[in-house]
Amino acid sequence: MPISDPAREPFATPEARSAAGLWGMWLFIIVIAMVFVATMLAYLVVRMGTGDESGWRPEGSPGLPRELILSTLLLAASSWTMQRSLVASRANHDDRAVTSAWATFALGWAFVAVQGLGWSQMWRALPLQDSLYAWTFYVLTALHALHVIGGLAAMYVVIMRVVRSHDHREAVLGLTKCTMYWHTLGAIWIALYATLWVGSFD
Amino acid sequence: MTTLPARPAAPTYDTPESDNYLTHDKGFLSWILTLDHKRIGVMYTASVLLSFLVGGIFALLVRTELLTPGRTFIDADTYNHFFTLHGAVMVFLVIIPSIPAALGNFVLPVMLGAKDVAFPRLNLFSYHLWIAGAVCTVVSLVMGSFDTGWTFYTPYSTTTTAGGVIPVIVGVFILGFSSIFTGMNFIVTIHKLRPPGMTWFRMPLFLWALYSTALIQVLATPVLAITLALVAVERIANVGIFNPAMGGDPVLYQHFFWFYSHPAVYIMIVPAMGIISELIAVHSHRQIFGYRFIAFSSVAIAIFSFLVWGHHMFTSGQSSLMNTLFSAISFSVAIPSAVKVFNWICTLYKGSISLNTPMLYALAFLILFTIGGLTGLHLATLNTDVHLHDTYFVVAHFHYVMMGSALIAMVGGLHHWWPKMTGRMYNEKLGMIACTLVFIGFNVTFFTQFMLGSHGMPRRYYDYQPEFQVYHVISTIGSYIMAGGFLLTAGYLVQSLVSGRRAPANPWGGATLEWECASPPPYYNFHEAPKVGEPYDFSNLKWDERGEGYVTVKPAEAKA
Ligand SMILES: [Cu+2]
Repeated sequence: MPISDPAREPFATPEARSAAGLWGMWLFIIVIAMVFVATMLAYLVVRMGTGDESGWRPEGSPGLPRELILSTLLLAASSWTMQRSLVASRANHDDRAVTSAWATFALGWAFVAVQGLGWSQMWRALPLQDSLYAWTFYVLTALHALHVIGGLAAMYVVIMRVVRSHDHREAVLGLTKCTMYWHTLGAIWIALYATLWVGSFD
Repeated sequence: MTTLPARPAAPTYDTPESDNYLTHDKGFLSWILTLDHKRIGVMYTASVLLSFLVGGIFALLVRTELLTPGRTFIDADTYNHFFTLHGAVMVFLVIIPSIPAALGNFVLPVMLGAKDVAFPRLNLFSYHLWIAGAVCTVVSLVMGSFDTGWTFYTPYSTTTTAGGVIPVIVGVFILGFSSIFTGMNFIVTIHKLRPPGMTWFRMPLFLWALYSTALIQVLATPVLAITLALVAVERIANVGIFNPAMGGDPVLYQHFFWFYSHPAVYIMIVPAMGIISELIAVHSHRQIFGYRFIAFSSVAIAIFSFLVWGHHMFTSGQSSLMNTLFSAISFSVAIPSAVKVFNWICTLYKGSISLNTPMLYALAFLILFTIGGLTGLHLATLNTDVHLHDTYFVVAHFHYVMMGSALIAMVGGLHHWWPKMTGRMYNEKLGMIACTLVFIGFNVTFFTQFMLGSHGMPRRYYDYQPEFQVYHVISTIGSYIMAGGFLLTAGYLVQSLVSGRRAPANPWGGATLEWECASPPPYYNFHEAPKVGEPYDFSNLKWDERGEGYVTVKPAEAKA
């Protein structure tokens, strides 16, 4: 483990440290956003480059899996519970905050599971190598799902810390960061879904 | 010489600081797991210099092979691997981390008068990521290396039979995150840990430069990461959006690659300009000329850097409207760059210049950067670029900027902060000889390549027409002279660690905060929070014969 020495703490107060932590989180969100903006742009460039006559979607292949509608609803619900968790924590109800955070955690995994169902639907009709239509679908959704799973892992750590430490200030800070990240992933998913949907027309 | 006041507050040259950051803890683990930005900076410096040696050896092998047309001593395939390795190691492992991660990590918090960067753990994690990236590069070498050029252009990078493409792409991906985290750390540190009294416009120019650099690191590097991830998946699955056989677009790869890699050039040069601002002001003991212009031009360059990537693609079939726009915006980068050069020259004018090694490197930078910058204009001009594209002219141009400017500034900065980092003075005479050797060797190597290129010698080629041989031989001899200069540098720097004179707190007469703490700095950087003054006001600093360093005197005594 890194050798930590409280005497070398750069910040004068814990509040100053928390404020810096939120700045760091914003920068991290910018990094994530850049990744997805670039990926969606790449998708649109290639989609427009192929034109209509060459056939973006192979003959007889399915549209986007229906499961995506369900997963979108699940993710939206999880954003709502995440927000509730933050509001509860800010109002000094850390126990209620933890309950809502666990709900978010469960909904998040449900989202990943339904995305998996969507994948298997698509895979039966169109394996990876068959067309760019399939390939872009897999890459974009997988990229997002990986970020969701990463977020869930971090969320688990934050919730456990809140449960164990009973440090209210830390709880608010951790849940604030989780909420920022989670809403970002939600917004990115909407944009991604819309992009895929527009691109799936022949 | 006036009589000195009783004892200046800061330095204690006669009783060298026995408890400093180097001696505070002992053992391998106390280094590799440290959260101290100074130790992390030192580890980065050592790692970067080691990589520089490796990249330099590949460069010398390439130059030696090019002594004669056709085969000199290695076959064409090996040659392709060598020049690719030279490029990839130098760009991703050396120049990108060399100033921000290595020198920046050491200097930034001390310059701010802070105890550390905002996120010390993230900082250590960045370094560990750098190590992981370097390990991936070594794994790639073992698995058959790669011959794609450092740019990994598709479809070649997704189809070549070289076995080490995936590991090196993973490595560059990881190095990208190392760079992003360093950038995040620096932005937050500069916003949140400036001491009271240090307003934005009282901040040393090196920090302005590191701040601008960090913005680029955070905004551009993610695009490289996702692009390389896509290339890796494409190579494994043999399908993808850069694959023309499936209706994909290989030129799209170039857009994405240069959207990162042009700003990456400024990740290299902007902090170098920051170092030069420090070197020129301190070693000519004169208030920097046009502080605000220099500060804002760093930010301007950072912003422009995102709008010019298409100048790498004038011959890719891009529409002529795009070409014209990219050409025009590329020209405009010359404005903030020239603003800086004029300001540096004005600072030198009537300054009392100490002609020592850091100053020599700064002067070398001025000359080499001017040549590198002006030849960039030929390449930004559409009708000349069509002829010069992919010739040695381009190679010469970017070596003048990346090596002649960025790396030279890094070496100059290393000499400038060497006494602070190690507590030892290096041999000044050898330093100046080595700098001269490097400067001569550099120009012999690369000025020749401008001629090669304008005569039509394409870059990357293994074989060439006999008429080019004379230039190639001169260029190779130059690279040996340069290698001699760097070996000499390595020699006297190592020697200084063993038997160098103990460094005073302020050997050069700098007014920024790092010169107010002892050399090497104490474990906590500052025993008491330092008082923030003007970063380039040298009027209160006097040379002290006894300690062979500068000491602060009260304004009244300074006049006496
Ligand atoms: Cu460029």
